Amino acid sequence: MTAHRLSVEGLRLSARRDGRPVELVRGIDLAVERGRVTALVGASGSGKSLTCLGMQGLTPPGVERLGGRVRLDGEAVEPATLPGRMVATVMQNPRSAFNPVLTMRAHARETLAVRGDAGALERLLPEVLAEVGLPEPERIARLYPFEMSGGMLQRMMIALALLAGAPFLLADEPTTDLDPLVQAHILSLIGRLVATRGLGVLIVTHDMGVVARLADDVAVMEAGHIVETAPVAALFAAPRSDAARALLGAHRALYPEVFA
Amino acid sequence: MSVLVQEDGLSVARRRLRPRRTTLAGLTLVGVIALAALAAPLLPWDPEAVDLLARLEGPSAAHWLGTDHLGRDLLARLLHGASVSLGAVAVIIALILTLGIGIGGLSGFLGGRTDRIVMRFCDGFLTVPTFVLAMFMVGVLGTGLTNVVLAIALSHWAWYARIVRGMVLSLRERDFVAAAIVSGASRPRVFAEHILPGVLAQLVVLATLDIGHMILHVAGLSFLGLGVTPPTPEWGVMINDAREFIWTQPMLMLWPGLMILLTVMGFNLLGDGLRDRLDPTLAGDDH
Amino acid sequence: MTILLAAEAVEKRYGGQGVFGAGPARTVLRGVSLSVREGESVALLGASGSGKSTLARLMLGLERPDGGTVRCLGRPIDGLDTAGRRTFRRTVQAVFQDPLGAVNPRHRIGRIIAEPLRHLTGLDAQERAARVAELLRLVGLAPEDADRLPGSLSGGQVQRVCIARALAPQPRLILLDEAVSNLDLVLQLQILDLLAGLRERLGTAFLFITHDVRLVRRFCDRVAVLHDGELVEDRPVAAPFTFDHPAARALLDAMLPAAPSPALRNRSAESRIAP
Repeated sequence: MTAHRLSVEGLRLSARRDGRPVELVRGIDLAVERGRVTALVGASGSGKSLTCLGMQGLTPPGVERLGGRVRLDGEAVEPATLPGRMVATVMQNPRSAFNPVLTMRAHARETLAVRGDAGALERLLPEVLAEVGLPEPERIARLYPFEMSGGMLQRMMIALALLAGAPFLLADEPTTDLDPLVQAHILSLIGRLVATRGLGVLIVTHDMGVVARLADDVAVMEAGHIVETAPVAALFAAPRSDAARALLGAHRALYPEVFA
Repeated sequence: MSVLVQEDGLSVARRRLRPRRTTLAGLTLVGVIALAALAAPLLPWDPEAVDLLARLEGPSAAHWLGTDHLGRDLLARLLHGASVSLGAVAVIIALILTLGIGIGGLSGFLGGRTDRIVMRFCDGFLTVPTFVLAMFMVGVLGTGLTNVVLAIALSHWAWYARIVRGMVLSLRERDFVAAAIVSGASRPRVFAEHILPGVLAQLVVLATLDIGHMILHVAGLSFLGLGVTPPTPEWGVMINDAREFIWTQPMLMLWPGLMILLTVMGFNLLGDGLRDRLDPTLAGDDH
Repeated sequence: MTILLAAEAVEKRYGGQGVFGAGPARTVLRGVSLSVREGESVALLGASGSGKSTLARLMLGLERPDGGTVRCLGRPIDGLDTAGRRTFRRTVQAVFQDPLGAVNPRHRIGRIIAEPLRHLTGLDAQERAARVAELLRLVGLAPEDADRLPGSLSGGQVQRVCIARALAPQPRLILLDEAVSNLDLVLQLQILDLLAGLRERLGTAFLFITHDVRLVRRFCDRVAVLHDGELVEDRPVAAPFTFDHPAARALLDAMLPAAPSPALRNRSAESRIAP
């Protein structure tokens, strides 16, 4: 697990609409580096969630991969081998990511089994639960998904990502449905893991507040293209693309006292 | 955003409108049998005309499928049997749906104490097996198709009522019902416009899948001598009559058996197709 | 100013109905009073589980309070006669959080928007169709969309349909229950600007239920904060935007930053997160 850079080159995804192929992601180059947070932003329908899936070599049903190479430290890899070992994911609706009939312990055991380390369950589980801020590991381990709130499940997703030991985390709108308190906790948790574990994070969001809070670099998507890539401070100071200006315009309208 | 690919509604609708081959087969089977049931009274042969000189004959120009042990025309009896079976099942389904939707729907919609009482009442009915109830009713009221129909309906409606109640309970909590109430719809209108159509679509599917089962019940009870009594042509009765001749004239038993098989299969295939068409949430991945 | 809708000391408990009788009841709202006046835009702010949506359901008459009263134009909404109920529904309309869940998937857009017109106005079919076309244009959709099914529209478009439906009977108050939180920020602002425009032209009042403090500052002139079933703040929105109650302050502190700052990303300095 020494990879430092996860990247995708020339990612192209298309879907069929009325029998005609429509290209939804049109040749994207994107990289995530360990110890850094890259934000992928854009309006809904710009293709950012698809790109996030494409980085793990996944495509939703009905979507075809026309091109794109995933690389670890510059070396081409078979994308299908990434999920779990190299890349962990956190999604907007964590509930759908859990098996409703398995307890948290069973989910953790499954994750460790992928790593070939199921024996370490009793030692590692309390450790990662504490790390993500889920108290009383014994109690949490016995819970089923329906017994947990959205915020708890989101933390559990991150705990599982830690158990998997994956160096990269792809987070697709991880806090969109959460209230501000839980959102703040999750964002600072991710930030802390980047600092302490050197996690490399790609966070997909439409909220420039999340970007301001967490990101080091920003890639702006519009209609299947990346139209701008910049360090976060530069993007906020001087956005070059219309898409970035539109997102920042909406964002700033929410802070009348700062941008009067 | 979790919106990945939104297939536009039109192409989905078009694909769903195109029926599968199995559905067409089911529709054809049911159509042909229903047509036979309707046409039976118009045919020149009398299904109850006894001709002791022409007993147990094989197929001939006069009797296309031959005759039974009393010299009655087998084809005529099979076709008339279709109208008896389908007629009985139609009445059963109508009774079950009316009771199920009426009682289950109200119970779920009103909720509270009414709901609890009605559901205990349903549980009572659910514990009585069809055959036991049928024997009890026949014992009290005498044999006959009417009693068999009543027995089957009474032992099945509670199951439907429970299903309808469950659907109503889940639909009632949906936001579009709240939106309808806020839009000023009265409770009966909310029920009729927003809840009932959703329930009906799923229920038609279930009922179609259950028709085969009902046909077997009618035939089974008639076979036992509880239902349709001998001169009337009915498939179960015909199989019972044919038992003595199973070695000499096996076709006497095979034909009504085949009719039951085809009818049950037809309704099941049709039900599967309807399920996929009307209620994609129940559909399997088998296409 | 007329008080359009008011909750007066409402209580709500949910009893756990166990297999063998009632389980322990959970109190969701304790003595909450909140009112909305003509033309006002009031925010109801709170973390998840604070009771916001329950209060919304009580104020819409979708559930009955266990204590206290909800009044519309001064009359208790419980036990209204048919005419009173019509007045209540004509006065107060609502837009819910999940747009696709809030429309009957079997009904076409035109029928969905016309529903309150059928129940609450005397318009005939032709007048209803004309009003639906006008409403569709008002929310930025095309009149031809009336023939489409909700499944063929995007989430943002369906939410516009829901807003058109709420506007249809020309209500004096619209309750928005997390009505924009599923949409992206640009769409959220477009919809809020649309509503702000209506407020200016028609004087429609809004009760805006949300957990996003940023939207409150932009859109509302009064803010109430619900915490653990109790109303802990009820004050005008004014600069500087502050709260007294610790729970309300926590919401404000959790607000996302306007701009990136090195201090925020000094991650090693961050303390361990309290559960």
